[in-house]
Amino acid sequence: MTLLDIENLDFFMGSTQILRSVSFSVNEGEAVCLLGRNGSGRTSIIKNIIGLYLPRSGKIVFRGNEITRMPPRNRVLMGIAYSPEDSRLFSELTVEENIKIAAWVRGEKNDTFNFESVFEIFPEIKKLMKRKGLYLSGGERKMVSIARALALSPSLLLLDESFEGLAPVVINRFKEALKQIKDMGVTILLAESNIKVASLVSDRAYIVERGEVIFEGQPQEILQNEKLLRIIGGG
Amino acid sequence: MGQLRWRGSILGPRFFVYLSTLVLLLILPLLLSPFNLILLEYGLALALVGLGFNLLLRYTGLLSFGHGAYFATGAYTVAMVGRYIPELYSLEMLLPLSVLFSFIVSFVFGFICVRHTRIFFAILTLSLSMLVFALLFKLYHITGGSDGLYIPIPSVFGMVFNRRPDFLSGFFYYFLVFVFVVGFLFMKAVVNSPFGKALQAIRDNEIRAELVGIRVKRYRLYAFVISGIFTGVGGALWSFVNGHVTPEVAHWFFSGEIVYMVLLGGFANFEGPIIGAIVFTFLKLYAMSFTEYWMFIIGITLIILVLLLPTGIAGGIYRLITEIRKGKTLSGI
Repeated sequence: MTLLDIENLDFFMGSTQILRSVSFSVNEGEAVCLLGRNGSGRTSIIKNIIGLYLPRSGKIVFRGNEITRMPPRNRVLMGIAYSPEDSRLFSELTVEENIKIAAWVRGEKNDTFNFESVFEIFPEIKKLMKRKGLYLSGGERKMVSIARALALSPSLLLLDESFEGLAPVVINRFKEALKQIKDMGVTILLAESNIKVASLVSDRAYIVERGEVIFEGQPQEILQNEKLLRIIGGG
Repeated sequence: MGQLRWRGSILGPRFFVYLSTLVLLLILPLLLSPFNLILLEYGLALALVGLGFNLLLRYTGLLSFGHGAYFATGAYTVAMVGRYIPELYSLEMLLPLSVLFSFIVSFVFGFICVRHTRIFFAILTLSLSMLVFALLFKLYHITGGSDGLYIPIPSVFGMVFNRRPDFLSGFFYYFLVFVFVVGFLFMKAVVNSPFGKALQAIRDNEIRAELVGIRVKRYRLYAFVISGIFTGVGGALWSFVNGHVTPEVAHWFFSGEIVYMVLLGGFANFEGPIIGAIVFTFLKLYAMSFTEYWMFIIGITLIILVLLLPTGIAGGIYRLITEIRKGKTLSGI
């Protein structure tokens, strides 16, 4: 069943066209990757889906409802969560507060939040709970950022360059974490530039080049295709 | 480890400092001269203003240059009731009325202002405050214009006080301490609540805050209104001590003094504005009695403060405590 449907999305920044008639879909329970070089338009697609950018034309349909012009907060409440590229946290809040704030906003008014599901995916967070967001390493920040997004109980998780800048050991750790998230029934849409990393977690992939979707298929197909690898800069 | 509570309970290492301060406040009338006690009352009333102001500055990231408007609302509520509805002129009526009117004014002004941030927010608050100033100044027949209005001594549950010094150094002082403590505890609860954390999230990054589902403008408005009410109550209490109110309290110059005292105490710490308000009250009065160029002293203090103690007096104290603790730890090794 289709969870997210993007139809002919055109997006401009000033007079520059960034996205050109972008169309693709994401099915429920899938992990889908948007692959492309830096500046290809991956992040713009993600930001259009969460509502930080508004397209000039086209449609974004989530769970059968058109959300193209909906404010970001409403999209979040509908079940779309976003972990941005820089993974910046609320610096003066502790890790615990950073995660709980999302749960509280979702309506957990009894001042309690069950962290077990978060600890299951990222046990490392347990020992960081009292540390302020400002004092975390890049990898720790990414973990907490994803945990915060999960605290919103999303059905679609948007991840922008979640693997960027991570050490190979940590990448493996993140791969496992994303599999666990997927097993929980959360659909994942990942924007990545690294095909090797993307192939570890994605069921399907789209290649975005100069604001257009030019390929749809399995990550393995891309890995075996020299031309496609050259396009995404992985060849 | 399934269920964790929000941190920041009032019962912490600071609890004993708070308790000692409260005990000190309660015995101060026995130690201070009536003059200094009245100065302390000015300081405590302004401390409430500082607490309210800092909810916007420190916790929401909004710098208001128009808090004089809400201060004036509280003070003029007292004055106008005294002049036009004397049968309601009792402390138990005046305080709720000042809350009500400062709520109305801060809600209306806040509704306009919270749509903007940074310099636009500051200028908007300043402009609206000057609008209040102009109204108070021009509507002479209602507000007394530049002469202002006299503030009579209020009755309290039927008790009548004849001399202001007796009222101020007796019942009113303890009432003021009571309101201050309630205000302090309330604000402490607010900043440590999920709402307070949401405000800090908005201050850190409003887009990201919206992306975790926080209603940014609405929460800013709530903070603005709470801040306005604290300032209004501070203004009402201040007016009893002052005995007279003029439109100057709505002028941006007075709003600037609020900013100054919060910076003086240190806006980065919860207790900073309280220290700043009390120190500022004494500093201003003693500077005024020392020289007619008292503003020069205030200005110099601000420059020294920014250069040497950017985190204010409270920040300096905390730094000193941290250094002492570090020293102890090192000597322990």
